[in-house]
Amino acid sequence: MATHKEDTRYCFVQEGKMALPNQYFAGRVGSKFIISLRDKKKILGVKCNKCNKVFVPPREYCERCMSRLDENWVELSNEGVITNYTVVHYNDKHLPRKAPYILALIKLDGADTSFPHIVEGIEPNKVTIGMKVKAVFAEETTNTILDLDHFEPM
Amino acid sequence: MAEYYGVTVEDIFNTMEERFRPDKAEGIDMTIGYDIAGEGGGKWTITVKDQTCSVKKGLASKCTVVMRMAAQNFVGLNLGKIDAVSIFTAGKVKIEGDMEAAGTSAKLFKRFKAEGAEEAEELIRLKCVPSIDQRFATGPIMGRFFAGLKERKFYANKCPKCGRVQIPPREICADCRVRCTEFVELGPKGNLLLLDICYYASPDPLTGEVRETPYAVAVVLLEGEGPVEKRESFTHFIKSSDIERANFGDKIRPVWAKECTGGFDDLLYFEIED
Ligand SMILES: [Zn+2]
Ligand SMILES: [Zn+2]
Repeated sequence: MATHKEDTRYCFVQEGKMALPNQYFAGRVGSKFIISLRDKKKILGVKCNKCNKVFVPPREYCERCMSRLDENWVELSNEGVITNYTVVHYNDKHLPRKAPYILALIKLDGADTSFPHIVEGIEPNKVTIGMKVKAVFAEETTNTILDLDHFEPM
Repeated sequence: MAEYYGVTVEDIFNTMEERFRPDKAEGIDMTIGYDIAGEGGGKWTITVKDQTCSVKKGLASKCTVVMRMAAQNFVGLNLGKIDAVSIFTAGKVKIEGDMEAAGTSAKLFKRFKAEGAEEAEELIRLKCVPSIDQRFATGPIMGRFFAGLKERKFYANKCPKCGRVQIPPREICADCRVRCTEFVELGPKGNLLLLDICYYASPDPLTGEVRETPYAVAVVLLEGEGPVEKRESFTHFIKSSDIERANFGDKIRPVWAKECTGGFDDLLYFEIED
């Protein structure tokens, strides 16, 4: 079978990029959560009294019974356990750390939900589910979830 | 006195000394000039030295930095009604002198608070410009078009079946679905068919910077052989200062970059030929 030979004299690659300004609004509940991390180095959640569940990060409504929760703030411990984890093996300029790094689900003492964050101070192959960790807050704050810089093993 | 958002330019300057934050001014020695245009505007100079601040009318002869902007934008910025980053990138604040000093000056004062206004709850907005690198393989047909730009020429391709001329050229004729391998040169001059004027400050995807508005996309018919109805129109920007005076059928010509490399930005825009 004859193959069609393409004329490639004019084939080349154009470099470009797609840069788009984005804006994320943390909302009233999200703002209070981040401001507390930034100014008080405290992790806040909300509690549903009806379901007796504590949610971290906080949210405006209970996902189970739809009760409004934003008036019922609770302060959580800076310590918790790893409930699951993954190791990020690729680098990308938009990622918060250089690979490899650990991204874990952490359930704080007193909370009923886990939330993802970075774990440092341990080799990726040494991390285990159930490991106790504590929060380390950022020296330089950025008005983001990274004002809680990372967790480290206790 | 002209008010913007219920506040005059003078209100802002008159309260500057009392809103000054000496704790943020340690080691800072600068003279900041303001040239505020429009109703209620004027010139002011703020001197910050030894952790004190003084405000005087008029522009000092030697300023670390001079900022020029419209009265409405000045008041809006001070009240937090206008976002600083957007207004700077849109070129609506002209800065002469030390850019860094202009940035520093913003931190030296507490925010202006209109009388009786309540302290707003702090809400967090995150702004970022994610930039994703892209690569585009031209292929042999579109590649010919880009190679043409390098020589400041427009290449189109012609359908062997129906005779349509396509620009930019594509592998096959959109009507007949047959390969089009014959190239013809169009333009470089042509006539304006229509303008699409954009007043929304959309970002330029190559930089993420907000475009100056209005800008207009022109649909033009480049000169060429053969019947007009068999020739595709071509779309690109038109020079901003031509937007107002443009009319259907105007003769236009391309304006090229100083150096053409065979890329997206070789053709800057079209302009009306007088
Ligand atoms: Zn509930
Ligand atoms: Zn055709």
